[in-house]
Amino acid sequence: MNCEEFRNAYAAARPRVPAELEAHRRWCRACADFATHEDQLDRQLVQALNVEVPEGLADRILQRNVNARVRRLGTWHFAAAAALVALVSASLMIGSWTDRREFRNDIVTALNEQPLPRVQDALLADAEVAELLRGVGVSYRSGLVSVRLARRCQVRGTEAVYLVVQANGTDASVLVMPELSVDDRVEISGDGWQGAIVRCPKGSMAITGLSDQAVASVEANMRAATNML
Amino acid sequence: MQDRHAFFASLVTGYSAELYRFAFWLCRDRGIAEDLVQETFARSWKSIDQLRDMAAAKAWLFSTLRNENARRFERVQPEYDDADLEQVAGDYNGIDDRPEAFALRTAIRKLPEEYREPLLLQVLGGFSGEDIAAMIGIKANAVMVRIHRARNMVRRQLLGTDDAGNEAQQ
Repeated sequence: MNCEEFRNAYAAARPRVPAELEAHRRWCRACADFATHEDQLDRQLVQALNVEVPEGLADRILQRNVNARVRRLGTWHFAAAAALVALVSASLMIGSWTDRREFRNDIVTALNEQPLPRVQDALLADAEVAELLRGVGVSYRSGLVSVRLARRCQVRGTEAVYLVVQANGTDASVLVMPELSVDDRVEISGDGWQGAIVRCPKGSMAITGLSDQAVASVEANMRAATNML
Repeated sequence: MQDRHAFFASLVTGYSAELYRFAFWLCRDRGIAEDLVQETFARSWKSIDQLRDMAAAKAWLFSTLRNENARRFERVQPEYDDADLEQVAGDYNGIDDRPEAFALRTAIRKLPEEYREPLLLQVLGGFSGEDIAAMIGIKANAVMVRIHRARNMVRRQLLGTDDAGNEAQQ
């Protein structure tokens, strides 16, 4: 692949950048700069288009669904159907009602409790990472993420997996939390690091790294590598 | 049965916000955007048995919403005013009001429809070129070209060096 091919393909291939493009990006400084600008444009676009979602939208959709079914089933089903949807939505939307700050603090604490990889730690085999993630109900596609450390842990009493992955030549930390939901993206940061807790249909992920670029890159790759789109 | 309800609820909690943002930037009206999302999920319930995989369901939802929006134009022909709606519409309250964000939105609005839609699907939906190709019914290579050009047009608009129509005509 030459530089022109890379540039034509990179912008359109996002957010799931194939390994072939990532490989070119790693060894070509000029194309890495180009890709960084593309990533930056993506972030700017997402931010510029981030219109506020009306409060209670999901609840209204679920309620409308209940009402539509009740009309079909007959009124005596109403109480049971409403209770069922309330129960399901309550279990799936804990994040909507969770105090965002408390949640963020708990995640940062959980990240701080995790070990750092040793310099001499080699990359883990994909099969090992896949097995660990399978244990918390998350499938894993190999070849998209380079993992240096992986371990099971608990976050807020739920099963999670902590990963240290390589991104743009540095390490980034990832907490995969399939049982914890957030209603929207939560930015987190600390002294010299950036990160975000991102919403996934199946729970959430917390990602921290040395730069926004590293975090965005890991997020894209983790979403592509797991079934947590 | 419980499984279908849980799956439907997970679709709603997982994708309603993303769908709403996509709908909003298609129609630029909060009320219509919510209607489009509601209608999309109403249709998804009817097809819930065919939507067993989250990733495939996401593409289905975005595609359905897109069709619902198109259907709106079949029913009535909305009058388009190319005035800068951000200056007058309360719908834009609460969004990023920095000059660079405003410039980006303006640049996107000026894109021809066939370029804007794939770009929105990529940026807001997180879809790959192949996903988008399947959703809008054109070849993946054509989608790649449109997205590449759309991004160039946005960039040129930001730099004030071109208008959106020029590259689209190439």
